[in-house]
Amino acid sequence: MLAKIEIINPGIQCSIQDHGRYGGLDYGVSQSGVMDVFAYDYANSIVGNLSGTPALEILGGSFKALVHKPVVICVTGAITEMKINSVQARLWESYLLNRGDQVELKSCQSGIRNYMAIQGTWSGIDKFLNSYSTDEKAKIGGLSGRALKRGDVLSAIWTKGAVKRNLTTYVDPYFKQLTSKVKEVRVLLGPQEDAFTSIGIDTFFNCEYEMTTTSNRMGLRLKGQAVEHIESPDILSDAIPFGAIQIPGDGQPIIMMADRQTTGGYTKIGTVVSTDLPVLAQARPGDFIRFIRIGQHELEKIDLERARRQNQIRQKKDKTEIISSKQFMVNVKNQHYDLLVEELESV
Amino acid sequence: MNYSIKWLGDRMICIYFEEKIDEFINKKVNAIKNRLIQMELQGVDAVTSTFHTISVYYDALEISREKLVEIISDQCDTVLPNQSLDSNLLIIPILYDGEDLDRVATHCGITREEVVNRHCGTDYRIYMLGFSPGFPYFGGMDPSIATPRLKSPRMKIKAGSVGIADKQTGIYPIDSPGGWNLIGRTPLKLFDPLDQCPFLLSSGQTVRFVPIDSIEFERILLAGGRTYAC
Repeated sequence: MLAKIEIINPGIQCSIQDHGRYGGLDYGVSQSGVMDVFAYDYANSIVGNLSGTPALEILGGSFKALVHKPVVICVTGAITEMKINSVQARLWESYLLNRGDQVELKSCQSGIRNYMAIQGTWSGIDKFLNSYSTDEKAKIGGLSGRALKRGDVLSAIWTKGAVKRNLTTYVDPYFKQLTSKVKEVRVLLGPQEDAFTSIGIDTFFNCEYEMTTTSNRMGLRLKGQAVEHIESPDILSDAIPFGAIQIPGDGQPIIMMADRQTTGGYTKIGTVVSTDLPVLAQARPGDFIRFIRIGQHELEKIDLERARRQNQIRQKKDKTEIISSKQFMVNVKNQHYDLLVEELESV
Repeated sequence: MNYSIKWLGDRMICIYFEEKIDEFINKKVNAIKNRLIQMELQGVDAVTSTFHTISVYYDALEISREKLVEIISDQCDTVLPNQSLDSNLLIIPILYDGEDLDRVATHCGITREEVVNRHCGTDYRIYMLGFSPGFPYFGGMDPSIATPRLKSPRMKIKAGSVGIADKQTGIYPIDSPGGWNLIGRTPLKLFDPLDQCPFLLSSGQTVRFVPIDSIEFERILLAGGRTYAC
């Protein structure tokens, strides 16, 4: 069955993303991919997609789409008012939408990015080096390598029946941090820790840094007490992982995110661990970031957290699977109706 | 050769050799990188290199850190620089008609022709790719044509533009803003996402610039801009 949905309002920035592109990292092609992998993975899991299926990343709400052919969607991420045909709907829950239905996101109350998963195998989008992620700078992936605009139509072939599923527990630390004005993220020191004075390193871990409006998918620019270098802020270029914290000459940290350049010549004081990156992805201008220092021996703890999350996301206990579904086209008094009849599994 | 191994967060490990632009170090770096790529290790998402470093993007849920360090140390200790498979010479045709050619000539106190002669009078090694898709960091430019960057960067520089910034020369693979002194342009496409081989250049390659005229430029462009034989 074909699902079809048209973008009526893409909001500030809406793009197709997945887990990112690794095949071009050695050739200068950015990783791209979702900023908030936690919300993204959940959205796909809730609609019953395979992990890594592309989804929409929507910045700052104010999004609207119109359904042309039945589609199963789920929106996760930032706390945002969501409406389906002007009726309040819930995030972290799947919905079957029919022709003519409209789904709308208002402005974000907490957090800044939403993810909309669409059930099925997407068609008509570009794959480059094994990824569908949109890289606007290189003009690759997604829909012609660009952000989505009004009138764009997305299609997917349903791979299975619709599912009715939602997240039942909001216990992950992610949710607490989502609503917090101060985000705490754990950082492993290095690799250029020797480029900073001990006062500089103390400053970095003891102060809160405010996120500025110049932040984007490439990096989060922070402002606060300057981190002091011993001498030079420049190094011979080396690789920049997702979450690396650069300190240029002005001492103001820049956290490198999904669309960062692959290599760079500024000193890096540390790297945010991968499990805390979703928290950063939801930080908005005016929020504060506090860096918590961890040791190398604590990396295993991070691995366990990540494994636990992956298992939770994969779990499908609280679902209602649709056993079969049939589509009808009915004419009543010259009025055309699309009907979908579903046989639900008993819970 | 001394090296150190560092963890960058929980998903990347880096090998650092001495921090300098050195052909011998870079050859060793490329040889180790190529070996690690060939090994196709489970749990390794990517292996990349810069002038003096190798980075491994990994997933500790699929490969243990102990095992990674063991494999990496083993390769660093045994792989020799001459094992790097980067000897093929690539010719890059350049039409030297850049708008900053006079500026470079004036700055260096030589003629336009002499700037061109010195720019294409030497072979270049590609130490790494980075910054934007397919952007090469060349080493080996004649220091006598080094020219400081423009005070105010241009908003858009066309793909294929060849420039000089301080002691470096480079080619813009995609349209982008930049402050390099433009001395010419190549009809070759350094980055073409629609081609089977999207990247024309790779780290470790040796490159020679050959001057061409505008007729030759158009001919290569019409032929698709992916190969050049002289």
